[in-house]
Amino acid sequence: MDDLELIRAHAPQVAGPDAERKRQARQALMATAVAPRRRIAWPAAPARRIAVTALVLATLAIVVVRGPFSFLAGADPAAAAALRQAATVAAEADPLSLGDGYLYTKTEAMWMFQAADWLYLRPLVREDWVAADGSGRIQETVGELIFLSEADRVAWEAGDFTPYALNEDFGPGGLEPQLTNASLPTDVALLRAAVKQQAAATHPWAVDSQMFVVIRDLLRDPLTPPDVRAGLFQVAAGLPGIELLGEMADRIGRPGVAVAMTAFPMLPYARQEIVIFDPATSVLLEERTVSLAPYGDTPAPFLWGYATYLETEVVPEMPACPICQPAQVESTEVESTDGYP
Amino acid sequence: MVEDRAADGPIIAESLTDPARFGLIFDRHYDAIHRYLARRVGWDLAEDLTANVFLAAFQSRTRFRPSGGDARPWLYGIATNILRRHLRTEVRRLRAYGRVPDPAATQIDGDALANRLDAERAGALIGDALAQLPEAERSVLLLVAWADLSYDEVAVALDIPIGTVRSRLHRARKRLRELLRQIGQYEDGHIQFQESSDG
Repeated sequence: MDDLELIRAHAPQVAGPDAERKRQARQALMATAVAPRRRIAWPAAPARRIAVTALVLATLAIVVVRGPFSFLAGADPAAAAALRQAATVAAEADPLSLGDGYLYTKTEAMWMFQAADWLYLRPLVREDWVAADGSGRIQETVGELIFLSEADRVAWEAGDFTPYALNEDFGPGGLEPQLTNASLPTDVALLRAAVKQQAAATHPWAVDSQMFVVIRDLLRDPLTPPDVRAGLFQVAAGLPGIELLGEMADRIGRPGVAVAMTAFPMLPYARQEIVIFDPATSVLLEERTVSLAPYGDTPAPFLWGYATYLETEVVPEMPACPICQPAQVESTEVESTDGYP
Repeated sequence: MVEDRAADGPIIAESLTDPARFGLIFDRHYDAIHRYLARRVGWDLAEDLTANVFLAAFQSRTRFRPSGGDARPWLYGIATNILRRHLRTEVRRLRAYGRVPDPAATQIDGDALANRLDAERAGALIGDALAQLPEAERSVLLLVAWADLSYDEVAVALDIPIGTVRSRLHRARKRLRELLRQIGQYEDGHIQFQESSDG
């Protein structure tokens, strides 16, 4: 019996719910159905809010022009052409070698965090150092939270919470450097099958859009070999629903080409995943997620989050980090779909 | 209207226009959420908190994002957030769970008494050790152990990357084993009780 089984075996024995109180709870729940909904007001605010709003409007304009349901048109020949061109560029790139060093990446991101009582955008800068043996560090600097309404702020402050930031060193195997990407097939048909299998395992009801997410995650990883990256662009080019949004600069002004895919087109879960890549290098510059469905009383479309990849390089060592928790983890894995390499 | 046997996701979506449909989510998951909360903060408080979980879930149902169509991770996430306001209660509860009743007060003889006391003492040690874990690690551990959520589901429930789930769980289990070793001579999956001087 391991410790988890021990905890299960000795869980406190508790009685089931009181039938009358359960009935009252259900009654109270149903009574709220007729109560007026609270209005989420977009707060006035700081410079960061203005910047975010500008990004929202820019993204929103694209979505409106293209139409939120343009995915219904099927595959986009223009998107396929742009992605096949990116595949050609990717195939010619030099593979990245870690040697004895660390892969350093710096990402600026902001994602919506949700809970029952609050909703906020959490801006952060995340730096990762990953060695070939999976040791390394994740260091995050969290900016000022942006609440969608005063009610969200009040609920957050009432809970006396602190924004979660990861500052931790990891031992060998603690950070999977995703070298397994090197074992992916380079044959496009086999690669498509591998991507589809992974997508279907997690989102069987939306395989095509999830394939785009899987491809994005693999392309995001700087250690994915050039021939695999080329294959991934080819697979993306054949995805039904892939769209070309055209030339688009990322948040720091780097010119790129944007492609998009709509996920969960059925309301209320619809969202659009946007990837901006550098056509000269095929490297991902930024990704954004736009909600195409209203959220609470916030009208759609609106920006759900973004990640901008600022730096990627191999460095010989990690700098000192007094605030980082020392390495404790023997094994873990990273299954990121949240915009971090 | 979708079938009542349908996954939670479509039912929650339907409840946006037909709020009464959310009653089905309540009926499906109320007992499990109540059991989880009762283990963490006690039966009486769990009655109120479980009601609050479903009220909060109903009010924020437009925010529900399907993860396999199952509402459990979302509901346990809400429950965990609500629990954070009752941390001190939970720690008191776990430590109270850790108190062993007086053997003299029981009327059970022989092996039955020994077995029961062993189980109670094991529960005592585990409750005490759980109370000493940081809340973030305890939540991950108990969502896995008591709510039977997968790592993926815990990630959804707590809105954290799965790598963070694994690292928190790893730390929690390591710390728990150390605590159990210190107070209960935990070895090879068993709690081996220290010799007691009180008979």
